[in-house]
Amino acid sequence: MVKLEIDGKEARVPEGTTILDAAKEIGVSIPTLCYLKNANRPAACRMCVVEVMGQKAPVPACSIPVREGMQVFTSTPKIVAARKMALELICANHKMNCTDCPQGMDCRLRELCKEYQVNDRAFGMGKRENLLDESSGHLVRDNSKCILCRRCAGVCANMQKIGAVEVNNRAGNTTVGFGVPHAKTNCIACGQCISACPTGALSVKDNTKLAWKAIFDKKKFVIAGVLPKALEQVNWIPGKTNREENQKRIVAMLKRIGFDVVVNLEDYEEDYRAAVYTEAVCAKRNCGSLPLLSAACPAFRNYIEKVDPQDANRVLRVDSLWEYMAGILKKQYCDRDTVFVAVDACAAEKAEVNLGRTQKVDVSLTHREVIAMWRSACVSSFTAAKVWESLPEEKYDELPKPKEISTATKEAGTELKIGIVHGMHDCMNFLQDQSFDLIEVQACPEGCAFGNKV
Amino acid sequence: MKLLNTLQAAQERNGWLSPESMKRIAAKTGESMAQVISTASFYEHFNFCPGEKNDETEAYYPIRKAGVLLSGLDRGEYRALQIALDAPEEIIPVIKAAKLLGRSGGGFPAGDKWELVKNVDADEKYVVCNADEGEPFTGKDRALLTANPEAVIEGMAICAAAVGARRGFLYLRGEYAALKDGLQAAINTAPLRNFQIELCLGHGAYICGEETALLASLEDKRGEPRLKPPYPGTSGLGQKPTVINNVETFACVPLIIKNGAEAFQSLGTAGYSGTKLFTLSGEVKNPGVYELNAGATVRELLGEAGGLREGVTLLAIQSGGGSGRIMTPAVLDMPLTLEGCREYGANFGPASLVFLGTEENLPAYCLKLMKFFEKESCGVCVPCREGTKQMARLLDKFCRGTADVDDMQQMTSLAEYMTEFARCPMGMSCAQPVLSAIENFPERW
Repeated sequence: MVKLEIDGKEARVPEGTTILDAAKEIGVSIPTLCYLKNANRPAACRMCVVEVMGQKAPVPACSIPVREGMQVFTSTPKIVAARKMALELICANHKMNCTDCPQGMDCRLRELCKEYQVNDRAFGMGKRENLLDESSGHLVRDNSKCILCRRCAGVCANMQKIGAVEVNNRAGNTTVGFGVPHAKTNCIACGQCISACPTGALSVKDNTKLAWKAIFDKKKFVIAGVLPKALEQVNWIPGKTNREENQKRIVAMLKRIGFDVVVNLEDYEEDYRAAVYTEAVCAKRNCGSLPLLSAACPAFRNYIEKVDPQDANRVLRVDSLWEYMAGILKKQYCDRDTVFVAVDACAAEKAEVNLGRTQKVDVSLTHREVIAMWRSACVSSFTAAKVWESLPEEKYDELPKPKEISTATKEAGTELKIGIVHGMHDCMNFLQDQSFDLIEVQACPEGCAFGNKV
Repeated sequence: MKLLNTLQAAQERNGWLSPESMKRIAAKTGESMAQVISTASFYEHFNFCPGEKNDETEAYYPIRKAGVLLSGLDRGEYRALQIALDAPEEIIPVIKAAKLLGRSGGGFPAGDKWELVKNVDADEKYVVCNADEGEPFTGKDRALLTANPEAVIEGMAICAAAVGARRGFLYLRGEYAALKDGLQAAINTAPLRNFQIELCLGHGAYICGEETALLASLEDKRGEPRLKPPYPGTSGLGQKPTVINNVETFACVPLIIKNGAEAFQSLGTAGYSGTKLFTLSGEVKNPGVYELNAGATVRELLGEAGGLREGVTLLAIQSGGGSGRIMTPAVLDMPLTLEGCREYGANFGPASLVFLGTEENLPAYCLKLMKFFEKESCGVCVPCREGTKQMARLLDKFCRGTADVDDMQQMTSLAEYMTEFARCPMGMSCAQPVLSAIENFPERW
């Protein structure tokens, strides 16, 4: 154990711990911008700089390990001035059009600028040109907003082990991505980079117009299929974090936006799994090589296609949860002209829908888009917080469960040894594990239930 | 050096890197296309459009005065290597006794560096010679590699014997490609025992002169400096312990082994032993490379160079290359050693001196340097990437005469910020010319 002092507080941490982690341990906060645990540590943004007693040059806390007897100061006037200067310089090369930014005025950069009372015009008006890459199905990269923190590249290479986004050129011309159009990289559309982006440089592709069109079309019957667990993650109103209360209002909000039916997909997840397992049992009998790989996660399907095609013969071709549900619901309402809108946190599903690879899901929306729809149309001149609080608590619409699933098929799951892997990080090691019959990879590091917070 | 070498070969064949050729190279080297583009686009020498040409004229500094290093009296005999191989354990004590300091600018004692690497337990160790001499107004390494490459190779081999390395790399600046054949011939004819030297060519990136960036480049990555610690001595090339020294440092080694530590120390001063190569440029009669004993004063050096050009009155002296501080003529009596320069508040750096006359427009001079650094920044950290850009913008205002007091204040605080908070030595030093020019010549702004 190493003993050190941070802002006068004593800390004892194992050898090799960084100053940043040691500070976290004892409740001292050091601001970070480019740092992302286990994924990105270029020490590029210079926000986490701290002063160390007896050392002339300030050091980046995210990368420097602690030393015995170290005395660290995290917010001396010099350090605060330096952070301010760093933010001013970043703003000088950032398109400062916050009001129409997809991040909706609450990105990490803006948060820090507010905290350090930064004059975002200190070095001029910021970037003016447009640098858009809209080639892929799920995301839009706007490099006029990119601050070159490299989080997206770090997440892609180190957390997901894909390496689709890379840093190109150098000096003032440095860009992330843009070497090849995004659609042509081996991006698997997991969307982790979007949630890692501290600005509006990466955002999900905007499908709200499609949703509005369906809602305002009187002939259409619009169904919203919601995965609540993922939606709960979102701070619907910035500053308000009470998940349970938010949860109760989501249905009311979606109804107010204009969805005719709001269905909780979690209620049907069991049936979906049962259907998958039935398929798997059949496939196991027919196919010699094990384990079978479930293609329920669209990002994993992309992974097989682009990165690991030699395992394609073991893939169990099943619909994603949304596609499965959309099929069932459309059958229920077969007498009407239905539009199925998937409301979830899955960027890969969005890519599938936008690339026209789905048959039953018509529109895919993420949280940010739902929030944008709600704010732009339902809140009008009131403050978002007020309207949010006035929303009634509503329940999800209950629909009769599909009849064709009998208990027999449900039990199929018990015949199989199933492994579930979260994140692409070490899925390679599991894909060959013969002790399982079926392996389901969920590309998001925290699994489907938490999605990618976009 | 697989990827970068393959790219270089493709570029030489076709004159540019087409997407198809890069795709082929990606498949051959097992990297993704995105990675290949990422790495290649870092280096200036690679063209991505046909017809693009990089023909910047390089300043050439001829040898004006040769001493023990440049004259290379017994070049090619490799006597020192014989002595060293007979008793490899004696090498480091002798180098330490000779107080050989690194010649790149940092001035770290070479013996200490070698000892560190020797004491690390590893299956593989490397010796790397930094011949990526990109500092503006500097030409000493080129002079040495032309006049006496054998001494450099011999120095590397002696170092390898001392630390127990079997492989060495000589990283030659891309612009010096003309020296490649001569160097390769010298390597081929050297009587190396149990040691191989690979000659690697840079691809046009000033930042690769920084040791960790150079190592990254040798590993086929973008030449971005790494954070220290860990130092190359413990985790260098491919995470293996690596000695990395300047051309001139290695060239001094055979002299020390042959003639003994005392003879080496008798040249130079107590703090800085040996001879030193100086590059003189600017308004001097005979610009070029001069070899003098370390500790010679600026005035002595100027005398050697035949004084200033006719009709020129001395305004300022920039010591330490393009990123050095711009000083008043008071430094004429400054002894040229690390300590001597420190006392005067100047940089020693790679021992390059630029003499500026009263006709010189200082803001314009600073702008030219800043534009160079703006172009050569690796682009990782905010202070350097954005700072150089803003500095160039502000300096431009001064050149046009549209700057006001606020601009001056913003520029000084930005320069001070860059000096303290940049990520690598280049970022830390590139605002020094501006800061010192404001400090020493306030009337010129």
